[in-house]
Amino acid sequence: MQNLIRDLRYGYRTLLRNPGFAAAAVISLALGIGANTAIFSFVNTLLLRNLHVSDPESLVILGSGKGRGNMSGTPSGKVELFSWRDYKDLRAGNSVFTELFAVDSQSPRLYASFNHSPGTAREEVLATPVSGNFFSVLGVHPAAGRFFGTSVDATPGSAPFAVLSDTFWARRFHRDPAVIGSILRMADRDYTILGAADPSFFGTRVGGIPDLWIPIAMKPTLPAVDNADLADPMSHFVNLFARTKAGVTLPQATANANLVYARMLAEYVKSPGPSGPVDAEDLAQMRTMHIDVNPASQGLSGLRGRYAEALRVLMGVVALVLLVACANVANLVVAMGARRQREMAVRLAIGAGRGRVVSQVVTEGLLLAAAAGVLGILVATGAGQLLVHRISTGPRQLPLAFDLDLRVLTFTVSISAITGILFSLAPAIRASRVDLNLSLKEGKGSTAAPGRVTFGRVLVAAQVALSLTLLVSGGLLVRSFRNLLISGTGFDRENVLVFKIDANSSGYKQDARLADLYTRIEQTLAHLPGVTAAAFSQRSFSEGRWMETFTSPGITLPQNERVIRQLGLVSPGYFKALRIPVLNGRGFNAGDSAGKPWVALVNATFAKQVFGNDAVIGRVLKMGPIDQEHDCQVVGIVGAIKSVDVRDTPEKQVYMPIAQNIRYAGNISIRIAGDPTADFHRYSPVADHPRTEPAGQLGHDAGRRSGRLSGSGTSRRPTRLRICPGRAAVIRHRSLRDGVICRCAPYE
Amino acid sequence: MEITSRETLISLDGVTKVFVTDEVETHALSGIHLNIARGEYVSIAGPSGCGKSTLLAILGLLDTPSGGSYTLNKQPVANIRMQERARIRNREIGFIFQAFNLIGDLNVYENVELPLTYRGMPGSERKKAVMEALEKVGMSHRLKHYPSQLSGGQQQRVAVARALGGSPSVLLADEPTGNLDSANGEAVMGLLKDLHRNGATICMVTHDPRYAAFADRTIHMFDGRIVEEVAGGSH
Repeated sequence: MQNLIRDLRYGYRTLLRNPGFAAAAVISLALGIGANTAIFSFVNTLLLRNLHVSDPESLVILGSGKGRGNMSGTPSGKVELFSWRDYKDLRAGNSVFTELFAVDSQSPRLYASFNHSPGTAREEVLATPVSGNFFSVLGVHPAAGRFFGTSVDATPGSAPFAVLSDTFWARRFHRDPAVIGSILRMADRDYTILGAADPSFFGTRVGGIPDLWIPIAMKPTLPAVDNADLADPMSHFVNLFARTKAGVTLPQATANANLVYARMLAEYVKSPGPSGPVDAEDLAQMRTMHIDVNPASQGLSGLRGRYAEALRVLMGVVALVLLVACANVANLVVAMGARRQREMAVRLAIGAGRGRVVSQVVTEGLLLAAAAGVLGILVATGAGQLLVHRISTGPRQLPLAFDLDLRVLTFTVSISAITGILFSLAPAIRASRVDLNLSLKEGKGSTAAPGRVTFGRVLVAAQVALSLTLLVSGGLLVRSFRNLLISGTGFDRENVLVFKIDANSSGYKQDARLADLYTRIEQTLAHLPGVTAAAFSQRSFSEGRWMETFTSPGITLPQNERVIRQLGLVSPGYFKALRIPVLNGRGFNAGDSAGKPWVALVNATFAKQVFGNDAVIGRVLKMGPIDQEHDCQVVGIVGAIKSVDVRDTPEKQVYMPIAQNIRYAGNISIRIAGDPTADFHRYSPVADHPRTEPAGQLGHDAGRRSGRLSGSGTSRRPTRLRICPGRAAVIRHRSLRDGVICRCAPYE
Repeated sequence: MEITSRETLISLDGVTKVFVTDEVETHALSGIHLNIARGEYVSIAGPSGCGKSTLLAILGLLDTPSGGSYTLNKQPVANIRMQERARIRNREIGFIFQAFNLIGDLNVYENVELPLTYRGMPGSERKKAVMEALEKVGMSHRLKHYPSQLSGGQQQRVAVARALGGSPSVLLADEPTGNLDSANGEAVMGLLKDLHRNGATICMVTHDPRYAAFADRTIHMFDGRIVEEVAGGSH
């Protein structure tokens, strides 16, 4: 111990006497350690850390947790999403879980106003519907007020309560306790704010902190795109979590859950819900259904799947960077060692064993590494925030907490120690092998000793090899960027702006008045100078998919091949606005209106896979629930596009005119002659509706969509630049005269 | 002084040293036979390149002989392991170098203390030994000074204190006055003489006949051989 203290003291003095060397070494290592710590923090947050809840190890999820959305109809194979009735029946019938709770697989974006701060504009909030026992089963406690309990599950629509997340409470109300008990108005309902969650609790989805939690019982009152029929056993939209009883294994839990689920399905067949009776095909499908029970201690995360591979690659890259830094510092230490050769010789001459000399040099290395580790943590903190900022493509920064927990600190200390040993061990061994007789003679040394030259060469060769590896890796990444940049989507991304529009929260129903609003806005935009085309669509690129099954007279395909992978509701100008070619037949026109026979367009992939070489135009597609099935006549074939991810292969797509199937369509796409970013506010419908409310800042939706381009995080930025120039990142939030909230963002 | 009546501390028998480079073999030492008694003061003299420093390096276990035997304090040490050589250097041998070879980042006290720390000596004993050694060389008032703050003569006195601190069996001095002016050189030689009078065994390499005369016996070397031994000194 005394030796260690002495070596540390001596090492400290040596570094102080060689500030240039110390600074160069510490900075080199700090950058490497900082980069590694930053990436590991991501790995820790996304892949390793448990949820901040009571006893996370006993949490399980039914399914893999990858399913999101609202799936109507009979599922098949592995069950990912459950209905509200599934939740209730499974909760009541199982014998392996102490508790079961439900979380809506998606957090609706709603518009809320707060009586706590009257006079401010309605604002977008992310609300996650959960079952009443959500907080109690997770064992979390409120920071203020209280949580709701199981009583809220009793009657649909009768529990307008909300609990604020700490993030939202802090951001919006600066943690003002006076907000507890106040009212927020959302989707035509007044919600009482019951309480606020603890800062450490973010729910069950990593990187997806909602603004507030509301009871699932309120789901039927939400806007049509977000609501669900809680009585329908075939309306699947929740993830189910549970706590296993002590001693129950995953296979036992799985077996029991499936047993109960099979009984439930049999009961659903006997007494079907609002979706109607179950036919033979559904029955066959039901027999394939199976629930997997999986550990859920780390919660769910869409980011996990999206960035796991990229993080592994990045960990490798930053490890290489650290190795290069080690080689650099080892070279510096060798250079220092040449200066200190006589000192080492003296130490050996007066009785230091080789081990003592090695341990002294290694201790000095560890001291350097420790200093670099401390600086590295600072670097990591900054780099972590920068990384979160860079991958945050939505209106808000990704809510990822990068606090330095014990695991991250252990990692940093470990890599600092390994680094210290790595760069100092070889020079230390060299120092202990000095030629005493030669080194102790004045004016003589062993700088020309062949061994040292060889060692130096090895170091240089290692540096060159590592740098070359990094260079090649970097080149490959750049090439993948370029590939993404030039990969076609099937539509022309240049010179298109996309506006977001929310008529639902402004009181519009899905009826003729809504269709009239869309028509008026579309016409207004289409007549603006510089606009060559304008159109509405229910979804824009990367906003998810609406899948639907179909039948067609004369077509006998197995059910899994009778799935439209993307059903698009669009207005007639859509294909012109996005320059999607009409390959055969015709596109939509104003005549395809509500009272006329329903029509559809199919893409080339659909035409080929479903109809082969047969004629397509004039064929009939039957779509929709049994009691609401519509016949749509195919009037044209359009080019296939990628609708979700640039790396997708085009799938079977069908388009229907919004006018014949009136639903909320959130996107207006306009094609501009010229640079769409130059003055994009000019194209906002606000020009036609001059009353505005104070502007707020929102992220750009195009950016959020571009996040879907990022299966590997490293391949996202250039594509995003292409789609959405950074200058348009700040957009305005306007309220039109007729009450429609419109957000504007350039698309290309 | 009757050399033969004393206990033999160092005994070299037929020691040779051959340096082998790519194509050339250099015989630095050839058949060296040498006995040094405990408490004796021996100087090794000769022209440059005659092998006197090589001989001193072998005596100090800084180098190994190519042939022959070497016994130090009745223990054969010619072919012992590195670790054991380091231990013997630390406990049995005190080195005084021409270039002082103090460690610049350590102060006077720490420099003298250093070999004792390698011995694992307890702190209190160490402190006592260091202070006694520095008292002997008259440097106890410069404990906190760094080598760069001392004159050459003072540095060499500190180096002598470092060599003395562990109470070694023999002091090996390689041209201890080589980097000093004549006044400081005389002072260091006087210091060595005093140590000798108090019982220290000293073996010193020098090519200066004035300083060689300080020893009990002077060995003259030429071409790697001992060519003459002269007993007695004028000081």
